[in-house]
Amino acid sequence: MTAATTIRTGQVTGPPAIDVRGLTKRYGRRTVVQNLDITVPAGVVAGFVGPNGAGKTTTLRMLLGLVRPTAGDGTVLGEPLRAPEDFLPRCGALIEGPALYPGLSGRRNLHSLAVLAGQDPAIADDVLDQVGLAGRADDAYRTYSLGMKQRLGIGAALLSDPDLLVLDEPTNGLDPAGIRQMRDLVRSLAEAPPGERHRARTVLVSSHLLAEIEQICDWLIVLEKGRLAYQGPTASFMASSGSRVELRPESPDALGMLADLVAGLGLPCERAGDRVLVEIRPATGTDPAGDARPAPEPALAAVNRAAHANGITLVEMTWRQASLEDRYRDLVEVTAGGAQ
Amino acid sequence: MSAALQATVRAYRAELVKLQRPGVALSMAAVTLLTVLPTVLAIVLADDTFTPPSPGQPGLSISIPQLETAQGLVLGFRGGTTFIGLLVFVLFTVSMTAEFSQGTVRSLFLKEPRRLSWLVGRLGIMLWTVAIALFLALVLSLVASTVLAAVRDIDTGEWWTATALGEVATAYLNALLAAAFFAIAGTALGIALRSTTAALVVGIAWTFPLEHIVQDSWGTATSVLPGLVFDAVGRGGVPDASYTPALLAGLGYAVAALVFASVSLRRRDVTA
Ligand SMILES: Nc1ncnc2c1ncn2[C@@H]1O[C@H](COP(=O)(O)OP(=O)(O)OP(=O)(O)O)[C@@H](O)[C@H]1O
Ligand SMILES: [Mg+2]
Repeated sequence: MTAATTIRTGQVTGPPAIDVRGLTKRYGRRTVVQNLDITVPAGVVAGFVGPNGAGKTTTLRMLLGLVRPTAGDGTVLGEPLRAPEDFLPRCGALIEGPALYPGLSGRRNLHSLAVLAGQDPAIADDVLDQVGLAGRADDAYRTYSLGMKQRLGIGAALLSDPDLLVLDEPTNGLDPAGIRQMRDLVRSLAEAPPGERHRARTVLVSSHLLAEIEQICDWLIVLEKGRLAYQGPTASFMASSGSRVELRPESPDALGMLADLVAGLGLPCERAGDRVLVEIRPATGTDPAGDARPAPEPALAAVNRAAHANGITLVEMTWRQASLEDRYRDLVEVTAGGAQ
Repeated sequence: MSAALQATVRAYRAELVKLQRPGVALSMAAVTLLTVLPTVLAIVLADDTFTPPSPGQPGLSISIPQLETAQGLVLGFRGGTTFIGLLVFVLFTVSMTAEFSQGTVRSLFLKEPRRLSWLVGRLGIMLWTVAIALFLALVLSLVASTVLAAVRDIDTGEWWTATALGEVATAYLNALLAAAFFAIAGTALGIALRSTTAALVVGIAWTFPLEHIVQDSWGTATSVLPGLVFDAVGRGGVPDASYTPALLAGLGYAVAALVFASVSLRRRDVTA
């Protein structure tokens, strides 16, 4: 079980941070985003995944007033989708990489954006500290490395101390330490600031790093070819794929008998090399909001008992939990086959 | 204060922060130099043959008798307005297309979704900058004229009269008006095409060869085609296009360009 599966949705009541219906975007004759219904509860860290060209960036642009939806409506932070001036002051966003002025220093870039948003420009210094650029704040943006530019872009998104933070592939170009900092940053943002327990900060982050998403996101949206493939708690998404147990008997001669025993317990299995692979399917009727991943212990105990009773000694019993990536592959890559 | 107006003021101030960079100082220096250079050339190359003074005379063929009139003080500055107009046009076009090609327009619109307010605030501060650069250019041009007149023994008795200073003020305002027209046209072109290369090719092909080819075969073009009209305003009227009609036509073009730019900016997706 990962830390992120402690769902925060329950703690925060009130309207969803994002609630849109029928969101559609056509470019010419190509429908890039089709009839998307998205709900992101307030206070969650939501992951937004899908193959290249699935329409993630286009969707985020529509949510933030950069691109006009062909159809669809809804609310962001409770304000109408079509009135971005009412919700953008409470949003921070980094869309498709950082875009700042090459000739200006990092500080002056943030300073200018803060002034544009009507904020105290002194905030720029705090943010530079937060994204680890304080030491290079006065160098021209043009001279920054890829990861430093990315950090400054994230800094620009943080300027407004946003209620809704939208990050499109924020880990692009970041080193492992940067990726870890990003993860910590997102987590810390999602926690209510001290003394502001009522305030729900919501993060929507698109990424291709599924392991990262699995760790930090408690809500998941999967997009495929412009359509919604999954939306809901990350835990439920993973639960629906179950997990796998690998059994290795002391003697390979016992493989056939072991497989029969497992099958006799009602568990689907197959032989592979010197092992028997057992599927642990999700229990039916799980609570969609909770951590619904099937606990493998009862099944494991039953298998072990049966093997022992039949004189088979197990030398290995490994529980492999399906990762978000496994589940994602089942759902998306088989059908999509990458970018279209 | 209405929300839109507040947004305009914020955009103006944010743009002011951006303007404090070397490139802007360089551009201002270029505007200034482009004005001083014609002044220097006009006085250094002036000969004694008399041609009747006319405000629309191309800048560089100026005679000493012309320089000794009340207009003499400002003839050099006036001769530079064509260059300034084109430079301002290119600068405004490129600064707008750069917002799109660098993607900064999306960073801006994420902070300020009132796109029209942003446009107005941005144009406001940039035109202020042009006004300041032009003023510096004017002062430098007047200084250079005075110095060179002394060197060339030109009689400047008419120069520091109320009439002459009125001419100076008029020349400055006309140059500023023309620069503003060129600035708005460049901004609109940049918003329409979004690509620096495309905008420069179209803009320069239009103002240089195209308009002048048309002008050669059709004299009325001077008071009809936008680039020529703006230029006529900057020079206080020319023989083929007198001042007031040129001013009205120029205003018409500027308003049309602003309306077009506003609609385009508001309606089109930001995919940069
Ligand atoms: N301005 C545009 N004009 C035409 N088609 C576009 C435009 N912008 C995006 N598209 C198309 O929309 C589709 C979705 O693009 P989008 O950038 O939203 O995908 P994505 O999910 O963000 O992909 P990636 O993971 O590669 O970032 C693509 O097929 C793309 O070609
Ligand atoms: Mg994308």
